[in-house]
Amino acid sequence: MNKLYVIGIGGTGSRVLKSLTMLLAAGVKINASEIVPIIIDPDLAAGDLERAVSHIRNYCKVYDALDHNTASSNTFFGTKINTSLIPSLRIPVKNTADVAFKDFIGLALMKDDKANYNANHALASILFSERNLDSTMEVGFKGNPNIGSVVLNQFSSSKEFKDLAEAVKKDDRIFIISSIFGGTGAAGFPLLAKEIRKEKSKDENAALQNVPIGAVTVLPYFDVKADENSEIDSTPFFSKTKAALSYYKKNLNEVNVMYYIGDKPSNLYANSEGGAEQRNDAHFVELAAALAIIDFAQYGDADFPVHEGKLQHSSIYKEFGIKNEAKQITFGDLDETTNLIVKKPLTQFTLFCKYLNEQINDSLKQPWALKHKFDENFMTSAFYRSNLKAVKDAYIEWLSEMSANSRAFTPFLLAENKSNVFALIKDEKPKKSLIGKSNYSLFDDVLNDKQRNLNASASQPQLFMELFHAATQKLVKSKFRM
Amino acid sequence: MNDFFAFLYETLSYLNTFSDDMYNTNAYVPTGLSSVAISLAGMTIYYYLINHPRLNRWFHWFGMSLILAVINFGIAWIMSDKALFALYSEQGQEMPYGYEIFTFSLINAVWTLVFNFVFSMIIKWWSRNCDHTPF
Repeated sequence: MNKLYVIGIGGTGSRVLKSLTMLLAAGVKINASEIVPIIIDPDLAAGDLERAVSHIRNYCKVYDALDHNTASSNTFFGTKINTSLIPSLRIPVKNTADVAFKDFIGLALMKDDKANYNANHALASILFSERNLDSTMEVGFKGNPNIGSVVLNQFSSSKEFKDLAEAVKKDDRIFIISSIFGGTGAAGFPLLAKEIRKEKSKDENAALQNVPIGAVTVLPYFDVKADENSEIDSTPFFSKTKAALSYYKKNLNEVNVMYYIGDKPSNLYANSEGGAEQRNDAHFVELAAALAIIDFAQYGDADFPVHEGKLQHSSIYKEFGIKNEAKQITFGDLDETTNLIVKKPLTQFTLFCKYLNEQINDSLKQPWALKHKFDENFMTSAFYRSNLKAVKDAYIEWLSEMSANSRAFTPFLLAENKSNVFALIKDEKPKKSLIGKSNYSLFDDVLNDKQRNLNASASQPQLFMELFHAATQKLVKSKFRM
Repeated sequence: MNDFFAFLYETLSYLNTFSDDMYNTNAYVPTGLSSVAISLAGMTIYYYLINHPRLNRWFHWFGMSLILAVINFGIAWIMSDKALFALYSEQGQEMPYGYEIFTFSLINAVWTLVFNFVFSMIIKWWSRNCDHTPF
C-alpha cells in the first residue's frame, strides 16, 4: 500500500489518532508507506484535538530528524506521518463559529410569500428541538448527530477536501475513525463515506471513488456526568447507538472493512460540551481502535475491489476482543495476535522513555555517550529537548492515563524503581542476569556494547535512536524472551 | 633482565649497598616480574572481568591502580627482605636494611602505577564499559 489517509472525526477521532501516533512512535509496524492524518472537528479549540495535533507535529519533527535508510534497524518512529497535504491537519467546518443552528439553516427565512412560516419551517421544528435550534456550534454538535448531519454536509466543498480528492491515488487507502454515540463522529462518518464514493465526472480523479475504505466506529465506552446546564447527556448513548447501527445496516454500503469497538461504560467523564475542557483521558478502547487501522493495512489490495464507487465484495465486519475479562488489562489479558503487534514495541519504547526520565543525566560519562558526543549540547538540542522529549512525555502520559482509566490498560509498572528496573511488565518476572550487572547498569552495559556497531557517519539523532532501539531490543530479549 | 629492572628501580633512587646487594642477588628480577604480572593481571581484571559501567570513571581506575600499587609495595617488601635476609644469614650477619627496603617498596609501588597506566593504554580499547577510562 502506498498512503493511508486516516480521517479522525470529532473528539474520538482525535484521541484514536493520538493512540496511533503513540503506537507508531513505539515502532509498531503498519503496512503503509506513510500515514496522512486528517481531523474533522468544528471544535477547533477542543483539548483532545489540540493534544492530537501537537503529538503528531512532534512525531513528525522527530521522524524528519532521522535518516530512515534501509540499513537502519531502528523501528522507533519508523512510519512517516505526512502532514504536507493538509498542514493544519484539519478539514474546517465553515460557518459554525458563534452561529446558532437555527441561523445556520436559515430558520427565520423559511417563510412563504405572506411572511408566514412555511412547511420547511414546520419540518425543521419537528426534526429539531428548541434546544437544538438555539444551540451554537463552535464547540461541535454536543452529541446531536441530527445537527451534525446537516452542518457537515458542506465539508466536501472545502479546499482541504478537494485537495484530498486530488491527492488520493490508486493503491492508497482511507480509514475513517468516528464514535457512534456522540455528535460529530456519528454524523460525519456516513456522510464522509458517501462523499468519497460519490460518482465523479470523467476528468476528475476516479481513485478517490474507488479507494478501499476502512472504518472504525467506537461504541459507547464512557458516560458523562449529568449536568442540567450541558446539552450532553449520556443517558441516550445506547439508544442513539442502536439507531445509528440500524441506519448503518440499511444505508451504509461504502465501507470495505468496518470495525466495531466498544466497552461497557464503567467510567464517568466530566461533562464538557467542547472547547479546551474537552480533554478526556486516554482509554484502552482508543488503542484498540488504533489497532483496527493497523489491521486494515494488512489486507492486500485484491481484497477490496471497488468499481465506480460500488463495492464488488460485501463489507467485512470485525470486532475487537480481549482474552480475559479484566478490569485492569495487562499483556496477559490480550489475545496473542494483539500481543504480537504491540507487546515488544511498547515494552522497548517504555524502557527507552523510562531511561530518558530516570537515568540519562547520570550516564552522560558512559562510553556510549562520550564516543558519540551525546553531551550537554545534544541534550539541549531542539531534537532532544523539544521534539523527542515532547513525544516521550506524551507517551508516558498516554500510558498513565490508560492505566488510571476504567477499564484500565495497565501493562507496565511506570513508577520509578531504580532498584528493580526490569520489574516493568506487570505479572511478568524478568529473567535474572548472571553477569553481575543489573538495572540501569545493565542498560548502560548494553548501550556500551551496541554503540560499537553504530555507523558513525549517520546523524546524531539517528545514532541516538538506533542505539536505544538496539539496546532495548537486546534487553527485552534477554529479560522477557521477546 | 636484571639490568633492565635495576635500571628501572635505580633510576628513581640508588640506595648504595642495598641496590648493589639486590643486583648481585638477582632479587630485582622476581620482584619486577611479579609487579609487572600483577599489574597486567589487575588491569585485565579491571577492564574485562569487572568491566562495569558503574566503575568506569577515572577515580575508579585510580582506586584500582592504588590497590595494585599497595599489593606490589607488599610484594617488593617481602621479596627484597627475604632475598637479603638469606644473603646476610649466609654470611652470619644481621641484615642492615630497614629504611632502604621501605624506599625500594615505595619505588616498586610508583612503577606499578606506571605499569598500570601503560597496560591500560594498551588493553583498554576493547573493553565494553571502560574504553574511555581513565580518559
